Amino acid sequence: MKADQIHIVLSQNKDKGQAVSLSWPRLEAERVFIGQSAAQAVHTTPMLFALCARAQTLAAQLVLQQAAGLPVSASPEQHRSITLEAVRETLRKLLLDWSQCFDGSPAASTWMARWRAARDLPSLRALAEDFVYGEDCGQWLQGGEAGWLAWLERGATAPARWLGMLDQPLPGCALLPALDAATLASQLADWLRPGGPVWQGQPQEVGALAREAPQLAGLLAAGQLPRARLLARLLQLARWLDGALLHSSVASLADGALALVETARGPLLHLAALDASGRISRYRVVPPTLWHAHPEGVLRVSLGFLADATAAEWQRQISLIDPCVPYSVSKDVEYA
Amino acid sequence: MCTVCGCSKGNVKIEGRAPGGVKFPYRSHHAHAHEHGHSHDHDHDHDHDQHHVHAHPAPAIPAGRAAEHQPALSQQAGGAALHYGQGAAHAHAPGLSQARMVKIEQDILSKNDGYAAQNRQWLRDRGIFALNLVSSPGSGKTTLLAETIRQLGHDTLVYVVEGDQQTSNDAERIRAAGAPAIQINTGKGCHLDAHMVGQALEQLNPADDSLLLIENVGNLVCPAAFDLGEAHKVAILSVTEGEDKPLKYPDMFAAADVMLLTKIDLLRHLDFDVDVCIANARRVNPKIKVLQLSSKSGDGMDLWIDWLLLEMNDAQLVKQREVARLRQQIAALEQQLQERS
Repeated sequence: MKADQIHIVLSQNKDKGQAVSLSWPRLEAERVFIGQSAAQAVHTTPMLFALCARAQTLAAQLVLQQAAGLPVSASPEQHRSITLEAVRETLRKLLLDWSQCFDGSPAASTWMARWRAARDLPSLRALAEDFVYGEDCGQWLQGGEAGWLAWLERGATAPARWLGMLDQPLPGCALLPALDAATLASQLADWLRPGGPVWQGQPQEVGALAREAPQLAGLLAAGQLPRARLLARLLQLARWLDGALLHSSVASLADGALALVETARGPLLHLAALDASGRISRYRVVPPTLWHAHPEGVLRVSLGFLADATAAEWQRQISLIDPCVPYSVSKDVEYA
Repeated sequence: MCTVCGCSKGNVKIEGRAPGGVKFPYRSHHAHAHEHGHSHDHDHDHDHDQHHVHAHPAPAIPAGRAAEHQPALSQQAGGAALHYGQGAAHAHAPGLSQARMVKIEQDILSKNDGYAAQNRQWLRDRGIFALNLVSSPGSGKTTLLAETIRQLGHDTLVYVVEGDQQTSNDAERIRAAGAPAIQINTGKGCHLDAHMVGQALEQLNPADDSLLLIENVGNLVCPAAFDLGEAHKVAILSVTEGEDKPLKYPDMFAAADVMLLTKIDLLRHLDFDVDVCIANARRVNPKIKVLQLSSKSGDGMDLWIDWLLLEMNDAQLVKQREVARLRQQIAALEQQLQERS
């Protein structure tokens, strides 16, 4: 089995019964930090984790400073930096992946050229208002659930049309409540299990939908999770473009420290301990995708009800959950 | 619920405490429309008062009341036999159709396989060599483990996960032999599963490059189907049990990579044909490796210990190679960055 790839197996027995098995045998690349100095690890982090590299680096800086007993807190500038990274990654997702999944091809090259050129918040906001919202994103945010549903009914932009296509309900998991590092420190073992993280005994969905659930109560009550999931991403994007920032927190442990940094996909956890000489003796990263790739997490629950769906539909639903690593789908068919 | 015997997971305990993991992890998620004007049984995997996104989109799966599977009647030497294992599920449970049993089994095993793959990577990342030891009750597993720990000595880090329905007696014996151990009580369950083992690993926290021995519940049937993430299943068969065990329980000997034939010091008192036993094992699994030993007399223990040390060394090398590969990749990336700047 190839490591660092989500493995999805659709098994079918000879009586046509179907079941979905899912795992992410994640390679713990951060184990290369063991024995290194804090400075080496921080330097290496963006090379090891290309996606959300700024968030990963901030988490490494925070956890290693805290583990060393140094005073630590992220600056507003650092939070602006990880928020800008989340904005760019979300727009890239819209223009490339979701365009591909819903319209069959990435967005036109002119949109991509604008995305490549947009490096600051004002230019990214202008791009998002043209491609996503069709209006000022601050004004769009004021719409509330009824307003957003009316907006998607009008279908004036590509994402609004995509939301209109997502009219089928699908089951999901519990949603992770907002947590900070201090709260998490008391229940850390649940996050570090080899089988995947759980909270209060349950696998959870993390990220935009978990954060925006109170704004989307009607869709959630109707089981319209795919639509709510995409709408939540657009809500998060609009908030960041309108000035809201992603946050981070740190806490000490009996042995070491942990840092929790919010990213577009959900909470990113780094955990570290140092030995007497200041070298790293323990390091773990729990990225948000570990929640979604839990053997009983949201990917499996969703796909379990799509066993008969087309490959394109699978791809669309997986893309909306948005794992940060590649995935493979295989069929295991038992013949008579 | 077990795939075969229907045993319940309802009162699993790890070191005497209810585990804090996924509640009822192997019950299927229910998702069905309630508009269809009738009610029917379904499994719940949660309490309804929890904060929970509860979608009801999929069409109802009727609680199957298909005809119960009837055994095949065959004539054997000396009389007739009823064979309950020839349906699609290869098993029988009163009131359940074969199709329903197959569906339940698929659901249970597909979840277990996901956990097992993650356990396997977790162990691999740490260079830990893990064995899943399976046998009938009373084959001498715990005695063998205690002797193995003693012979490996203090230089080799050994950790043990003990699976039993009740009591922590075995874990206490292992700790007395000098190895950290954690007891999983499966309650009404007849086997360990990958989810239980994952939870136990987090608590046991085995050191890198160590040996992990998982002593499964004494049972030659159900543990065959459950991958725990181990490197190998090791089937233990004592010479007091009869040489036809591999034929009676073929799934277990087919799933195992190694068979340990234990208590060979008793051979002189028994009418047990070692060659026939090994031939039987190879009929169901031609590739099975066989070691003969006695924990009591020490015969054959050196070969077992040598094999363990060699396999541990291989697991450690896999980890070292992976870390070296990552370091090379980082060095190459740094080189590229330097060339660009």
